[in-house]
Amino acid sequence: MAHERALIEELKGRTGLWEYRDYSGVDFGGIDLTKREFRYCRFSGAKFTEAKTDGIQLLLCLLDDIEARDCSFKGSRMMSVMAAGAILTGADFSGSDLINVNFNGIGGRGSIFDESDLFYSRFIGAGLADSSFQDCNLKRVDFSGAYMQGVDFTDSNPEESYLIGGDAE
Amino acid sequence: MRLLSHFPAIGISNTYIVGPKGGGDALLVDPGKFDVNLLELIENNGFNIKAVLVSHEHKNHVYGLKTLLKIYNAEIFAGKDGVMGFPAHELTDGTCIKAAGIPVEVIDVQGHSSDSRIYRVGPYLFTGDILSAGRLGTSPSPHARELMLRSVQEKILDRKEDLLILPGHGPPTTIQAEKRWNPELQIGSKTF
Repeated sequence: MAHERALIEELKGRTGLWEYRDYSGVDFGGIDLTKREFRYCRFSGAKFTEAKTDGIQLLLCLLDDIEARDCSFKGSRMMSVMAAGAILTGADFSGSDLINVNFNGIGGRGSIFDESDLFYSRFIGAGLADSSFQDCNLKRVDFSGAYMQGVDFTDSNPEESYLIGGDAE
Repeated sequence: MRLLSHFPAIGISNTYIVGPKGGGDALLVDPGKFDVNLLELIENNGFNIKAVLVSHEHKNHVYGLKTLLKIYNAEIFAGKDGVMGFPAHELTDGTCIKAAGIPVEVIDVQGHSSDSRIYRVGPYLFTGDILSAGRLGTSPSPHARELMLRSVQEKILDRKEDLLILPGHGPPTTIQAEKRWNPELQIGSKTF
């Protein structure tokens, strides 16, 4: 707990770039992470519910099994990020660059990815019912085996993605 | 130890660099494309590339080698004794070597190409085209696919669950995530 508190205090102290930190299991509830930049950090199992995460920037970070229900990641930039198994129900990624991101197995019912660039990302086996991908770049995105009932692809290019085995309507 | 990753817009093969904190001699995995961004990444972090680990000699993983060797005096380590016409240290399964002074475990996994090698460097596993997030690599035949699946199960999946898998293509993953979310490995576990 003391280690977790120290990590959070360090984040509260200043904005800027954070590298090679291990935030596994940390509860970020109420913490302002707006526009913070993290590189090569581990957030496995961390809780982001109630955290402020708009505009967050992540490079090669691990967000596997995080809990970020209804979180807003609007305008975020993620590259080569691993978020497999994350709980992202109702999360909002509108207007984000989500390049080469591993969303395999996420719980993402009702999540919003509108106006985002998802080039080369993967949603294999993800739960995406009622999620929204309006006006997105879906080139080389992999939705294999994803549950996609009610997904909205208006003004996007799902024909350039991999939908093999997916359950698109 | 520091890890850096490079995802070029063209080519879409990942390149990785591992070196000491504060810079110094470093190793580079798969120079698929050696562009200005990669050069800046190396130089801005104070690294001197002394070793190149090649996952396999497919063009999109080694095409940048020629340029790299004009800038850095690096040894090449691979699954064969030459890559792109340059001499290489041929590595066999189970060998532990030092590349740029960094310990590297060599794992031979067949099924994609005969010279495919996976490298473990500390907490990182560089899997080339053998295993990526949610997928196994392509194989030339059903027999080769079965061989790959069996090798991955026997040599890779019983490792530490939080070992970070850094593939040649696509985003990073972990052993644990592949056990849970890779459909090809799910089927495999029932087969064997």
